[in-house]
Amino acid sequence: MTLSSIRRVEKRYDPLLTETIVVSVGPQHPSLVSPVQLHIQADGELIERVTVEQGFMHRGIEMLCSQRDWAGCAALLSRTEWLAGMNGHFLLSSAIEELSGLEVPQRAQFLRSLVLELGRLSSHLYWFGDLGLEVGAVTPVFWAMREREPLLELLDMLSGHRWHGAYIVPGGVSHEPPAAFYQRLRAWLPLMRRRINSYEEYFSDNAIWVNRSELIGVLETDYAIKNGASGPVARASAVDCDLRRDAPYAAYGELSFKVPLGEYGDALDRFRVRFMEMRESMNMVEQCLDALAGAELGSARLVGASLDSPSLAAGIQGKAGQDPPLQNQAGQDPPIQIPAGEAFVSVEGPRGELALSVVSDGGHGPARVHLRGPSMYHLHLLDELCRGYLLADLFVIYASLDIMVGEADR
Amino acid sequence: MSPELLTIIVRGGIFTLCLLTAFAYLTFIERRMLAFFTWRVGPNRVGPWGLFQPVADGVKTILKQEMVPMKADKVLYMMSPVIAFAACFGMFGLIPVGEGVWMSNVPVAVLLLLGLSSLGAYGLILAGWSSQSRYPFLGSLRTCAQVISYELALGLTLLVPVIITGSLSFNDIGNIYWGPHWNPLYLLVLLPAGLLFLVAACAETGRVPFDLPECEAEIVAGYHTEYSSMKYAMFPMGEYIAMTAFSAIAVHMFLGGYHLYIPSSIDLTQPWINISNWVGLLVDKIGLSGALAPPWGPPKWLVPEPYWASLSLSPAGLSTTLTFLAKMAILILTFMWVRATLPRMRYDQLMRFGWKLMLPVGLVLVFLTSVLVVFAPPAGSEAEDDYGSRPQPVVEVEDVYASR
Amino acid sequence: MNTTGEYNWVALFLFGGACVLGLAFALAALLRPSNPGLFKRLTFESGARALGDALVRFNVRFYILAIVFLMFDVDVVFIFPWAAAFRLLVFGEENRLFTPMGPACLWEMFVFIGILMLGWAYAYRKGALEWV
Repeated sequence: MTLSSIRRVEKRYDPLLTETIVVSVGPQHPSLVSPVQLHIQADGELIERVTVEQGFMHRGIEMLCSQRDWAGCAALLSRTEWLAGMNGHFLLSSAIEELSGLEVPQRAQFLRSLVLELGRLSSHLYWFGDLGLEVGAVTPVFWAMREREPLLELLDMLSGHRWHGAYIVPGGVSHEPPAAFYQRLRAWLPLMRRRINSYEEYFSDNAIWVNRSELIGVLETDYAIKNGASGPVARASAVDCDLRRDAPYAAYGELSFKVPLGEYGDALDRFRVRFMEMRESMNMVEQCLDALAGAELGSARLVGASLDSPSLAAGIQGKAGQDPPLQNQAGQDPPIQIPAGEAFVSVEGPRGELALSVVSDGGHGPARVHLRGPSMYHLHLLDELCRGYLLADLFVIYASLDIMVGEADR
Repeated sequence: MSPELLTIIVRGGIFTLCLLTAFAYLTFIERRMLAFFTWRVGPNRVGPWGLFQPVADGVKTILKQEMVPMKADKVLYMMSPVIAFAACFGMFGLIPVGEGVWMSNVPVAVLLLLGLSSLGAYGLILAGWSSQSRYPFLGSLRTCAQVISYELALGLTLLVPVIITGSLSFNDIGNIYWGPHWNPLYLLVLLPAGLLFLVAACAETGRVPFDLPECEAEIVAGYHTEYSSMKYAMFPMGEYIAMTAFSAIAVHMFLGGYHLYIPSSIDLTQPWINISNWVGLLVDKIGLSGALAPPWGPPKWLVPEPYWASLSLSPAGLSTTLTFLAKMAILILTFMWVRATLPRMRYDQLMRFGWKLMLPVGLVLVFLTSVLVVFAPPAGSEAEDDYGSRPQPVVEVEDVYASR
Repeated sequence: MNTTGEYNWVALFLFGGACVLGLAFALAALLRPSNPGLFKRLTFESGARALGDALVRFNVRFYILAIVFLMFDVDVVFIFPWAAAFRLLVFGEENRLFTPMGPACLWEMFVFIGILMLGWAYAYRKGALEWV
């Protein structure tokens, strides 16, 4: 089958003068995890138009960030894309490093990559469970949660928080992980590799799922590029883009990985690409573990004269002898100050390109913050993707885009 | 009141009670099973092992506030859960559960059952229409299309055992494997027909992978979105009882009803031994006497003699009932297993499957069965009969009428 | 065999089932709280205000399918008496006073089912069995 065989709405001869109905899905709907409203104009069961109404989850994160100190800003940013909260911490940390001209030690870079990949795995696992629910299979969601659990426990070991752990801090990571962390992660990897295969087979060997997703919600390559799709959604449409390879950050320049690409850009391709990405992520985690176990890579974060002293060359101004700068107990330490300037950093999140633009006026917090999240763009692809498909396809497409409303609304 | 009527009323009461209990515990078992499939514990808080969970659910349903949408068509809105429930419930008035354990022994039970199962669809369609809301409306349209599409395949698969046994009564059809009609070649059509029946039954009762009428991903809860409290409970109740009923029909039609046979030797072609009455065999072995001797029934001083006989249960009745329930349980558990395993089909795929695959295959099966019946006659006494050399009856049909 | 009584029992059972329902409804009506309000009585639209009427002139795409169904359903009902009497028609029975038809009865039904299949094939070709 080719792209030309895709159904599209045509002007049809209708002697019965039937009307289209508008079905509203959301904000309170059993299959929407987070609130967004979709007005679906349908002719029978055929979707003619989808109008997305968003803002039900708008918390004003960007405005709030500009009113907080740097520490509070990091916490807020990790709550935009909460399934992989370390992306928010990474964005702010690298923005601060860029503003103050810090060099992060090699070991910390590997640890950052490791944590970011664990976040991607956790997010993709959640997506895979949700996908099952959307097509009426109740079991995969429990598989996904079961696999995610040891992962979250590992993250908990790192930072004391399962989702939003502030493990990535300016100047590196907050501390060297305990030895048990490495052991448990190594034990978890082969198990997960086996299970990922069986989970993918559950879907890809199932005629019902393949029929429901093949050539459904086709996103064509140039449309994807024009409309700012990124991440797995763009890669499934054969857009060869991946920040980890194109503009390496953390330790990605030293890791070898493939960027999986789709062929048709349909829901099935997006599904396949995510599963291939999960395998790649596990490979990367393993490479990181090897690197961390092997050669001397320096410390896990900038310490001593470089950060903790009040007269540090990088320009972070903190109280003498206080450590670390972002652990700012209210009323105890004065918030850190970052030199004035502008920084733009981006990261390849689990859903696509997350970018952060920060303006600092040298104060205790950012003057302005702008976040670019992929979900906003993907949410507005829905109209194009759903046109001409059936009502039942809507949630297959929605789930295949893996939209995080909290990040789209911010 | 005649003894017969009283017996029927008492029996009906027992049937009703058993069915309602069965429904309640089926929900419980399904939840525990789904939990088992997904590494969870399932409901285990209410009572020992969560056994009182259905009771708690029932109390909760009754105590729930009821909300009737303003726009709803009140009469139809009230009626449709009753129709949906009563039609499924009524099926058990036609299905024998064991030897002598039945509400009625209607000679055309199969036809009546098909009628009742299509009647149940009215309840669902009207429920969606009368709610005057969009999700139920879409849900009821889907139900309508789905039920009519699979009704045909259902009817056609039921024809296969009917042709083989030449009867529309469950008591006769249950004998299909060991009656005088049997020929092992019939398995060629009975097996695929049984499979088709199970698929069609899934679709008729709206279970996964055919649970589109109430698929929550798009249309919230389908036709019963606007229902609450007791009226809502009628729909799942009807669905579970229909599932039980269809399992019972499948047992009668394709699994040899309430009979139980075991092979007499390793050579399976040898005649099999009938152990349908295994309780009776056990009783003979033990030698029960006095008050314990069968048939069992209520105390004699409580029930007068003419009523007692029809209220008592013989060992044959007991053993066949237990056999039947066990066979049914296997099928019901299969339905639940399927629910834990498969995703939902899409709408047009479902219809395509019904019309373009199930229907022609069903027709072909009917073809094949009739051919088999003619050219591979039963291994019994009729097997040697050649219709050509068969002695002609002395009196022709026309003559019979002429002589009246 | 006198079977009229049997049908009565089925009807009685149905009636009994409806009575049980009535009892349950009555019990629920007695016990449950009732506190109706405007917002509770609005139709559910996923949290949004319902716009317009649900009963629009809707494009029911399966009306052709429904007609095809009616046709086939009636035909299948025709097959039922034939199926029930098939063995009898072919082989006859002891003490039954009519001539068995032999395979002729098979061919006759084949013609009937054949016409049915032709109708099915026609509907297939015409696209009447397609949902959209």
